[in-house]
Amino acid sequence: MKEVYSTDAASGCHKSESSKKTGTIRRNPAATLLLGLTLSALIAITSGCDAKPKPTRATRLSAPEQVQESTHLLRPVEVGASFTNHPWIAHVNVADLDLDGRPDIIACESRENKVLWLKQTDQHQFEEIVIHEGTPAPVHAEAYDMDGDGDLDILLSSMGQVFPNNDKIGSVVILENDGFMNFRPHVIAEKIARVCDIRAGDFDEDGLPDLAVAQFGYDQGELRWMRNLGHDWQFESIILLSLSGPVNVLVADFTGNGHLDIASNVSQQWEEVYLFANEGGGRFVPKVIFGSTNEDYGSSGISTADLNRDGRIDILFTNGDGFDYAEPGPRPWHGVQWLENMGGGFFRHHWIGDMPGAYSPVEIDLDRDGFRDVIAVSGFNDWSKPNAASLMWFRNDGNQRFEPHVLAHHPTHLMCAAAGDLTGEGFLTLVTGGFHAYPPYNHRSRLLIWERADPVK
Amino acid sequence: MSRKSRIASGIILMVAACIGLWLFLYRGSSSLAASYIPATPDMTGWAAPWVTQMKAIESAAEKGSIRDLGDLGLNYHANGFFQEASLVYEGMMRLDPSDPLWPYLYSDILSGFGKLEDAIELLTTTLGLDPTYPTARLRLAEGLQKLNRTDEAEAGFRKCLEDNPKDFHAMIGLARIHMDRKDWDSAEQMLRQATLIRPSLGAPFALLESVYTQSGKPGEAANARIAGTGKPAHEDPPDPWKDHLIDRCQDPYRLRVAAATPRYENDSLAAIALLERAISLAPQDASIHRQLGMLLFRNTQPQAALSHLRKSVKLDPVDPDGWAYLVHVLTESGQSIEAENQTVIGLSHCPEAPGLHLERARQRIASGDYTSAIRSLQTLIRLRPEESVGYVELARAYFASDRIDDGIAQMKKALEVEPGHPVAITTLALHAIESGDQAAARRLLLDAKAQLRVPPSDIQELTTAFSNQFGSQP
Repeated sequence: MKEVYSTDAASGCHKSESSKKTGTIRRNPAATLLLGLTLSALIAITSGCDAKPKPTRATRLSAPEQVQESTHLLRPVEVGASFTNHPWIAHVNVADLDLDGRPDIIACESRENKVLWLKQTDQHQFEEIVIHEGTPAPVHAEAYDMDGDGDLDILLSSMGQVFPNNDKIGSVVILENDGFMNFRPHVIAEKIARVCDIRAGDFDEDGLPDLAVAQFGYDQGELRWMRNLGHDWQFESIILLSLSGPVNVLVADFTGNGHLDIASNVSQQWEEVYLFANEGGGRFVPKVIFGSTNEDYGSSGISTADLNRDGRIDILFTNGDGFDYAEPGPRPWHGVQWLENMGGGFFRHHWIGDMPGAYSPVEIDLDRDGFRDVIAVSGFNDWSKPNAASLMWFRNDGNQRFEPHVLAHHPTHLMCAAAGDLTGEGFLTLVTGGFHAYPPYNHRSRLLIWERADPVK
Repeated sequence: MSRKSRIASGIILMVAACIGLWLFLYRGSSSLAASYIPATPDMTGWAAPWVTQMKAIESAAEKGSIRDLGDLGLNYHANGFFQEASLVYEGMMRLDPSDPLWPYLYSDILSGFGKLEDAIELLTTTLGLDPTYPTARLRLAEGLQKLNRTDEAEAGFRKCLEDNPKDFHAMIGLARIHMDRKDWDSAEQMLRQATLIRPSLGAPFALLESVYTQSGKPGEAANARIAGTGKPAHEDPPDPWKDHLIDRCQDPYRLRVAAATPRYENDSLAAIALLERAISLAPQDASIHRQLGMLLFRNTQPQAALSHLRKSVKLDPVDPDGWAYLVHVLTESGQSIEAENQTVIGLSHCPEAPGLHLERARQRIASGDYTSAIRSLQTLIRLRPEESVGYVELARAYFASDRIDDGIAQMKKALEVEPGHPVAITTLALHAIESGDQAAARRLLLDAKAQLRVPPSDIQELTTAFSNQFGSQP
C-alpha cells in the first residue's frame, strides 16, 4: 500500500491525506521524521509558533479589582448627643422601637455602659434617650417582642469587659418594654463567658421565642440556645458549641426545611462559620460551612442577605479583626465575602473584595439599580495612609461580580453599620458607629447617618 | 545518491533536528518562565538594595532561569506580595513539577485568603510528591475538618499520629471531632494526652474545660481552666518549608508582627534578631525600638532595653506608650529618681498619657504623698473610665490615707467596670465581713470562689474571717 503524505506548513502538523495524488514522494520513514523535526523546529524558531503565553495569567488567588473613589455619593451627618471623648459605639441597629411608624436607631455605648435609643422625631431628626445603663460593656442590642405584649423589647448582649478577659463576666439581658418606653432589665443568664450577640427565634416551635447566644469568651467561649420556659423570664440553656470566639449568631431558615436554623462565625484560632441546622423541635445538627486554616484570619462579622435573589438566604461575612495584633491594624487577607446558599445546608464561598479591617457587612441596593450591593466598614485600617477606606461599597453588577468603591476615608475606626428605611421612602439609609479605642484620634465620630449627597447617576 | 552521501545527509539532518529541538525547548521554557513573571509591584519605600536585587532576579528569570523564578516567588511571598507570588508558584508547579515546595507554599497563600478547597488540592499534590512532610499532612487534615469532610479529616489526623505519636496538633484536631460527636470520653483522652505532651499550650486545657463542663464534671472543669490560665491559645506547628521565608523579609512591619507571634514567644533570641533586622531597615521607627526595648527587658537585658526605649521616646516624644515603658523599666531596674524625672518629662510631652499618670501615682504613693497620688489617679480615671486599674489604685491610695469608705466606693466602681476583678471581690468581701454585713459577705465570698484568679489561700483566709465574725460557715 502506498502512503501519501502532505505537510501543512501553516500548522506545523503532519496529516495523512490519502485522497490527494499530487506531489507524492516515496521516503525513508526515519529520514522523513528527521526532516519533519528539523522543519518544524525551524518553523517554530522563525515564526514564533511556540504560541507565546499571554503576559498576565490568572492565578487561583483572585486579583483585586481597581478601587473607585466614590466619596461624593454619601454625606455623613452626626446624630444623637455631641461628644468630646472617644466614643465606643460597638453596635447600631435600626428598628421602629416605639412603633410610631418612623424607624429609630438603637446603639450600644460600650465605654459608658449605655443603651441608646435615637427616636426619630421627624425625617432624619433624632432625639437621643438613654434607655438603659449600668450593664457592663453592652455590645449588641436587638429589638424583639419577647413577651408577646405587642411592644418591642431589647435583647442586650453584655461582655462584661470589651477587651480580652477570660473571666465569666458576660450576661444575657432582656430589657422589657412596659409599652411606654420604660425598660426593665431581666438578667436571663449571668457569670458566663462574655456575650457578643443574641437573636430570637422559636426553635422548638412551641409558640414562644427562644434565644440564640454567641459567647466570645476568650480562651473558653460557647454558643448556646436558650429554650423559653414561658414563665418569669425563665430559660433553659442548651450548649451547641464549646469553642472560644463566637462573634455573631444569625437566625433564619437557611436549609429551607421550615425550621429556624442558627449560623455563627467563630474567630480566635478556629476561624470557622458554623451552621446549626434545625431538624425540628430544636434538634440542631452542627456543620462547618466555611473555615480558614489561617489562625489570624480575623473573622469579624456576619449578616444575612440574598445577593443573587434566588430566595435562599445567603450569609455575608467579613474578616478584619485587628484587635489581637502587636499594633492593631490590617492584614492583606482582610475582606468581604459571601457564602452562597446552594440549598439543603450547602454553601459556596465567594470573595467579594479586599478590605483592610473589614467589619459589619450589610446588604443594601445603594445605587437603586435593583441589584443587591454590599457595604462594610473598617475598624482597623492603616489610618496613617490618607487613602485608607473606612466605608466601602461593593457594587453588584447583577451577576454577583462586585466593583469596589470607597465611600469614605474618614471618620475612621467605624466598627458597626446598619441599614434601614429611615425616611419611609422605600430606600435604605446607612447608619454607622465609631469605636475609638486606639489612636489616631483625629477623625472621630459617634453615630452617623449617611445621606445621599448627589442623585444617583 | 551514494551511500556515503546518504549517511552524511542523515547526520546533518539529525544534528540540525537536535539543534532545532533544543532551541525549541529552550525558547519554549524560557518564554514559559517569563510568562509567569508578574508585573513589578510598586516598591516605593522599600530598601533600595532589595529592590535592585529583585530586579536582577527578575531579569535572570526573564532569561529562563527557573531557579531565579522560584527565588522571585519566595521573595514576593516573604514580603506580602501574595498576588505576585501566586503567579510565580503557578509557573513553578509547571516548570519544576517534582518539587513539593511550590504547591505547599501556594496552598499557604490560598488558605490564608480562605480559599480552602484550592489549598486542599495543592496540599494533596504536595503529599503526592513528598508524603513525609508532617505539616502538609496536618494542614490537609485541618483543612478537611473545616470543609466538614470529617471522616477524611479524622483519617488524616490519625495518619499524623501514626507518623508522630506526639503530634499534639493532631490530638487537638481529633479531640474536636470527638467533641462534635459528643464523645466526651474520647475527647478527654486525646486532650489529656495533648496537655502531657505540651503543658505550656492553653488550647487543650480550654477544650478540656468544655469537655468536663459538658460531661457534668465541674470540679475537673475548674481545674482545667486554672491549668490553662495565662497559656497561649495557639502554637504553629514546626514548618521549616515556610519558616525560612522570614529570612527574605524586608518589611519592618511584618518583621515586627512576626516577632510578636507565638512562634517566637518562646524563642526570644530569634525574636530579638527579627526586631534588630527591622530596625536596620527602619532605624527611625520609634515603635520598633519600643517593642525591642520591652523584649530585651523581658529577656533580662535592662541596659540594652533602656537604650532602645530612650531612643523610642527621642524619635517619637508624643507616643505615650514609649514613655510609659521607659518609666516602667527604669522603676523595675531600681532607678527610681530617673524614673520620676522621665515621668515628668513624658507628661510634659503627653499630658493625657494614662500610663504616665499611673506611674506618677505609684511614685507618689511610694513617697507617702497620697494627695498628689490621688490627683494623678483621678486624672487616670477621667482618661480611662472603662479600666479597673485606676479605681483599684485609687482605692489603695484612699486606704493608705485612712479614707476607708472612699476606698470601698472605688473598689465597687472597679467591680462595675470589671465584674470579676479578683482584688476588688476579695477586698469587698473582707470589708463586708468586718462590717458585719453577712448577706453581702456570703455573696462576695461565693463570687471569690467562682473567680479562679483568686488564690486558694485568700479564699481560706476569707472563710476563716467569715466563721470568726459570724460563727458559721459561709
